Amino acid sequence: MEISAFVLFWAAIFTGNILLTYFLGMCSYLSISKEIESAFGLGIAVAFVLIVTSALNWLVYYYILIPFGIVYLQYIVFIIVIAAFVQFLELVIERYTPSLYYSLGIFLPLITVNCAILGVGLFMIIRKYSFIQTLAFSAGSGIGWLLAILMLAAIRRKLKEKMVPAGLRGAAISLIITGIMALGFIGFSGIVQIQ
Amino acid sequence: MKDSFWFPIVFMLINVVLFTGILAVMFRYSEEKIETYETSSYQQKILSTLSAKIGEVTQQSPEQIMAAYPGSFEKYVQKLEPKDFEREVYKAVVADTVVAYCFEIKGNGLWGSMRALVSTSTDFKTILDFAIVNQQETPGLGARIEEKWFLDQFQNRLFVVNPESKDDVTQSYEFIAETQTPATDRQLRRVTGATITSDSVIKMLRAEFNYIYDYVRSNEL
Amino acid sequence: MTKKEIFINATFKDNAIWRQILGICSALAVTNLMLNSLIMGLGVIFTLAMAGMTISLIRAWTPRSVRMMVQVLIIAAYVIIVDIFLKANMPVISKQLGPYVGLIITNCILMGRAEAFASQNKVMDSLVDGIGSGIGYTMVLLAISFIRELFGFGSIFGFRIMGDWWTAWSIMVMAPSAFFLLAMLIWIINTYYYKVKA
Repeated sequence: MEISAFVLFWAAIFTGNILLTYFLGMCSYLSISKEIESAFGLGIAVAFVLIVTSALNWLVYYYILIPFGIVYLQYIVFIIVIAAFVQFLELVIERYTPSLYYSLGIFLPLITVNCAILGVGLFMIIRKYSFIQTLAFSAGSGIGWLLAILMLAAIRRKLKEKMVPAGLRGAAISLIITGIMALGFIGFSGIVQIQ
Repeated sequence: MKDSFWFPIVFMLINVVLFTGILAVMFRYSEEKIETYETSSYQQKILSTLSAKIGEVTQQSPEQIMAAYPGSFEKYVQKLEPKDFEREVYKAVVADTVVAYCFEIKGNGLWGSMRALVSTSTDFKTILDFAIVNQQETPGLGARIEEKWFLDQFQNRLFVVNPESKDDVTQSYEFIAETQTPATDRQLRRVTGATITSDSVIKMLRAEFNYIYDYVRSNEL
Repeated sequence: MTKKEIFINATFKDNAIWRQILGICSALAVTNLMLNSLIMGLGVIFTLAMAGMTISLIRAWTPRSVRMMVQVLIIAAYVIIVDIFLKANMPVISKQLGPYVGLIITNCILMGRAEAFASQNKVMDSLVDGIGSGIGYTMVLLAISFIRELFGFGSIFGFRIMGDWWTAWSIMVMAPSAFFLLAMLIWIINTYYYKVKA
């Protein structure tokens, strides 16, 4: 596919935002957007995992899975690579930024099954991106995810909780806000073809 | 022992071997069954795209032709292996005359690749029928391209409109809402909420028809 | 906790979607049709039960440093086992389940329950918790897809309900509608079940 890495990078952030256009990576996004600090921490973690594991999985797919004819193990292999890397990241975060470790709670191990990460990995395969394209695409997707969670956290911060009905506070109002953002992002569809 | 350096690695390896072993065994054991089913299903799809034409020539209804599978497939359909042609192609033959061709085409959808079968007239310009073999689009959204109303839009449609062109022998199409009726033959109804997938189908058809037409210009099938 | 308490907890009090906010991605994708929700739900129930039991079984031996990889391996393995089994023996159903294979493996509920319950509790308890969580999840999915299919397609489980006079609501076909419907569901549950006060 002859799309420049530069275009892919920007498209992945805006016109094809992995969260607001493809709805991948919702669970942790909804739960951790209460505070801007933890949202930022999680966003950076997800972006980091995305870039590194996409690159690793690209190499594994083209240099191991295909040559050995075991493409049917694709899902398992990809997700184990992601799990291994998240496990490693958990050890690092627990050691160096314990406050982030506690505020993330169960959502740190859940980065492993963040559909955005596996989704980007599968996208790069089916769209047949080269290694450089994959790096640009995953970097853009990671930043796109980070921006989306920051946007939600910022909106929630400004939201006067008292004005929201009791039953809607928390996850429900986040869902509505996200729904509106998603409707807005539908306007971007078709602007740039990245596949 | 749990805290030693090697235990986690060994534990992990044992589990990986155990589970991938179970999967590999299941896979090998079921491979034949799965393949038989897939071949039969594929052949019936090919037959379905050709059944209208075959039926027309032999004075039978398409339903009768389908009901006579596998006999009707063996009788009327033959596989071709043209040199350097990178697609599967079949021909429908009645009384030693070719009445139609069927090509397997490939393209990229939103979530994954798609494979489809398209039957064409003997001059390769008109689509007789269109069927999807494989797609990985969102169930209930993009996956609706397999619905009859969407596929029927392509039946008996002249697709190669610029046979002399060197760049593109097809033309562009405009998508209208599912609920509207096409006013011109350049309008097609898209699947609601699945613009990208609908678009991917057209892209695939156009690209593949260019590939096919390019080949048949200078080669015999 | 008794088995009954575990089940009620997993299905209602600590419901995966409306309480723990897990499994949202699939809740958006498959709730356009009730049949899709049911198939996804059954797949999740089965995987939660089997993976939960297996992870619980080996929990004493699982080193902390590799536990995530082991959990994910077991979850993925069961999903693929189901996929291969169906492909060989019930190909028509397999064709329906096909697209969901990836979605079940990354469904946060599976990893979430594995981490939070199965890795720390007994085998039969994990089984009950898994089934309960799965049923809780399926309930929510069916509720949302009931509305989405009825207003978006005019049908229920594929049976046409609305007559020709009905104009389908396009928004119900698109994913954002699931956001709004789920938000409303949570609102109702919060107000009447948990009785959250201002």
